[in-house]
Amino acid sequence: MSDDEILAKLTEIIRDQLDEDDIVLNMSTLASSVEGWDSLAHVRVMIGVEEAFGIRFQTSEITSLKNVGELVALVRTKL
Amino acid sequence: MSLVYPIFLFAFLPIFLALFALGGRIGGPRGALLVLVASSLLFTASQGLGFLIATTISLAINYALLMAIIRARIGGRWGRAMLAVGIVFNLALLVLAKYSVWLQWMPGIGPLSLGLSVAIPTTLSFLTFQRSVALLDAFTACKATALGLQSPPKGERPSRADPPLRYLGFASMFPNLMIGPIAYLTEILPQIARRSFGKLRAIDISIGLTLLIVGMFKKFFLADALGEDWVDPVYLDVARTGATTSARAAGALAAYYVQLYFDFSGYSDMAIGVARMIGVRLPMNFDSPLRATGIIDFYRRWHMTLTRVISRFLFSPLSIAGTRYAARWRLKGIAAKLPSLWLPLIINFTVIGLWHGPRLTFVVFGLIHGTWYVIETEFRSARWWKKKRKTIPEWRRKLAGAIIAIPLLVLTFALFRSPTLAVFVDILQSLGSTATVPQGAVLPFDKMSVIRLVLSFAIAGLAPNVYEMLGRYRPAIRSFVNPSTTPRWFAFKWRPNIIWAGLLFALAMLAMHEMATVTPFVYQVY
Amino acid sequence: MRPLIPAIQAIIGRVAYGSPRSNYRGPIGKLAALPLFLPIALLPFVGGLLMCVVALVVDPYDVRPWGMAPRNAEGVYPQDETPNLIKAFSSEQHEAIMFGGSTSMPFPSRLIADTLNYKRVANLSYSLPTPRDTGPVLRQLVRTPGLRRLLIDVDHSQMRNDGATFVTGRTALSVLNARWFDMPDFKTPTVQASIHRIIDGTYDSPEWRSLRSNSADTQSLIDKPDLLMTLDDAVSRPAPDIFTAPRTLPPCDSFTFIRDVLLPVGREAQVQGVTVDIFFPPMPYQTYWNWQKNDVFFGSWGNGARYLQLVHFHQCIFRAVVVAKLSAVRVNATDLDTAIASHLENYRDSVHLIRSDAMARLLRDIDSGRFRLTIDNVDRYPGEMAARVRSVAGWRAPGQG
Repeated sequence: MSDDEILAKLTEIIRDQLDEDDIVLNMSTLASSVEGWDSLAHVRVMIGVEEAFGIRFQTSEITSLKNVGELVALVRTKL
Repeated sequence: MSLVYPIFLFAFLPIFLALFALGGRIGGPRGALLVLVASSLLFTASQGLGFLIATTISLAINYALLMAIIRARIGGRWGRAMLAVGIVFNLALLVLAKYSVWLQWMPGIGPLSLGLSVAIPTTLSFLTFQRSVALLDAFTACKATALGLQSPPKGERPSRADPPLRYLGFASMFPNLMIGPIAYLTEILPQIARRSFGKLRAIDISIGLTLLIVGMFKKFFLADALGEDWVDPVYLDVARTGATTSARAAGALAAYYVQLYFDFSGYSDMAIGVARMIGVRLPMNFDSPLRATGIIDFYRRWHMTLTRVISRFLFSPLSIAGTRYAARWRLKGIAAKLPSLWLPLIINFTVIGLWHGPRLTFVVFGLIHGTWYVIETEFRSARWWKKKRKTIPEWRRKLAGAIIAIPLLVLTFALFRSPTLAVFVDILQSLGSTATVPQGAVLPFDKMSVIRLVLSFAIAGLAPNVYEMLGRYRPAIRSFVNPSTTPRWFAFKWRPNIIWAGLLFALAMLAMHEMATVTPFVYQVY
Repeated sequence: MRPLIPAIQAIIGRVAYGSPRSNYRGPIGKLAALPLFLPIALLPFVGGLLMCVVALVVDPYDVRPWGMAPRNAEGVYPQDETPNLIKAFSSEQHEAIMFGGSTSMPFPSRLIADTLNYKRVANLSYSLPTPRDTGPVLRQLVRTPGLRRLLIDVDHSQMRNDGATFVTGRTALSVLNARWFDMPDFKTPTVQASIHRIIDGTYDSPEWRSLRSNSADTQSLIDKPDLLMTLDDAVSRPAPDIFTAPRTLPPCDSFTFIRDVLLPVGREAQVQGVTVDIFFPPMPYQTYWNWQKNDVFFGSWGNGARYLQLVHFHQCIFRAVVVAKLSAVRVNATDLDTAIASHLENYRDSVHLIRSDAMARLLRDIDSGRFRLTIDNVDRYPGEMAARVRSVAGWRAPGQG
């Protein structure tokens, strides 16, 4: 799976979890700059990502991500 | 000795700065770090022998485990186990020393707890959390931590003394040792490892001095005096006689709301200011929380370093586990929300309440805030609200939020202040009392105390906080980015010029006047 | 005029709101940007440092093992300052020391010295002492070098068993327990007086001196119609239980004063060779009627006649002295002295003495032992007191009745 495909799928998951259809993500997007993506939603998002990709994160990995690019890279290592 | 002692502010601090600069001149960053560590040792010793011994043992064990975790993460396997051991040790020490009131009935543990609480009367709460999160940082960001500990300052050779010295510098530094702010290892290490550490700069001292003076003003001139005039006598009366007049009760409730903020944030400002003088930026603790527009907003602004630590330590793991549980069992709706969100939140805030001490009122405070947080979270994430909020202008939403939140905050603060639930109920009931003459020893109001209360509310309501004013100079590390709530006309900005110097001179004189005339520097009487 | 407004706007913009340097470059703009920030902002800290140095060098409260030897003025210090000086006074030679509550505060130390024939006397009374602070204070004072006599005024604030202290007592305790870096002497009046100590040898200040010399006899109780009316009302329309014997009296060993003050101080006095004279302040007997009817502030009153509860407390003190064989302690029931208590003009208000001849008489009472409690007369104490309290039953304030 390429980075762009991962990014596209992530965008879909995040739009669904945050209930906002007009979210646009790129590799340098910060969670704090996306409407509604606070620490509470972050957990839902990450578990949603786990479910969608069939992978599993460590707790520390969930809490230490800095931007979307890191998330994409993390997903790629787990696939 | 504490940051609020005259001997610290007027003797220890200038002597420390001079020696720090000297150490930096002679020995570079390492020399300066040595001075910092030695001064912190002195500061720690002044807290008492029991505290010194306990914290030294804690330092040794935490450092050993930290290095072991780093090695394990890079090569070996026992990292997670050692992380657990370290956290358990830290928390056990804290719980035994602090919660002896509740533990003393247990066989074996009880006497140990009582003994520890007598030997260590001063608080371990902050350093416990700071050192535990450091272990967590070593576990999750082991490469960055290792680098921070070991990489020599630019242009110098590596030294075996660097890791322990730097860890000591982080874990024992006197500005935030006793009452925080709780800093991350990964925030502090790069700052003490850099080559310019040890060089005092005029701008650093100016910014640090500004923070220190503002903190002194808030703590001595506002908070301590408000407590003495408006809050403490009323609570004493209610505890003794069960009632007071409605005017006194209202005054105590209102005054405590600002007193607690100015007291705690003033102390934090002083700590951050002292660190800033030597060029170390500590994380911010308060961001105008009294103007919060809801409980969620409040916790992004109040005691931010505790919020982020507990969220990372407790809420996130619980929420992740709960969310996974709900996903595995395909739970929907409330059944899903309960384990993934509601319970973790309630536990989170109950622990925050409990962290303040073994008192039922703290636990109830935490429960109330947790429940409130759940309610507001659900409200904000509800679909109908998301639609509706687009039709209401932002300023009106924020105002409505503040109008709802502030009275509830005032009430829960009063609960926090009450030694027992009975006192809390009594003081609330007194709000409706028709008595006009208070029983007991409350003194009549004088003009100065009324002016002080009005001034406190004006400052809390309209003035920018000192970090906003210093914004351009990056005084501290921001954990949460919040929108400013200061009206535009009052959005003053600091510059190192003669006018601001005059203002700070006045604030410092007012603070010192309180320090030098008011009696309660009651040291160890109670 | 015209160039001034944009100049002011530019200055305000820059100074208050931190806006970037504008194009205005006049003399006023330059003034606002001078690099005098640090020196000005640091000035208060220099002042603080100087205050610390003075306090550490002079050490007026004798908190530290170093520092100049305490040299206090003869005479009474203001109420705010006295609790700070307990340790300092106890380092200087004194032959007699008086301690107690507000009822013994009016006694000038010179009067005590002259009446009892001592050379150097100190009166360290402060208002509302309680057992919690009185114990440590007296244990400190009893070790004063050269001390032969300790006069202790015991009023009803010493009946408290709740461990409470008032700000005076807390201040005294905090100085007694201070470590060298605690700086209870970081106060403006203290530093001023300390500078005096350096310059002319005594820890004193002009302000304190003037307060001392102005505390001569002023208005007495008979010149205060409101107070007289209160007393009149309490006597002519008395509380119904003014003479009711209390149903229960607290057992003697429940008084914290006896356990934490009397016994340790009495034993230490024996060791040091100091004579301790405990005395109970004589008050107008109308005051006991007033306390029965109007006193809601002292939470330790039980049921029944309050003056009887007070006498019971006094008897417990005496009995404890006998049981513990405190040979150095004498208990003086000077509240029985009608020569003082019947004359309202001796008092400043319903409780505190003001006339020096009355105070001198009280001191001679103590010295001669006229009202000393003994095993033979202690049981008559309640009856004697009752007779005196009853004796004012027909009293009316001038102009009433």
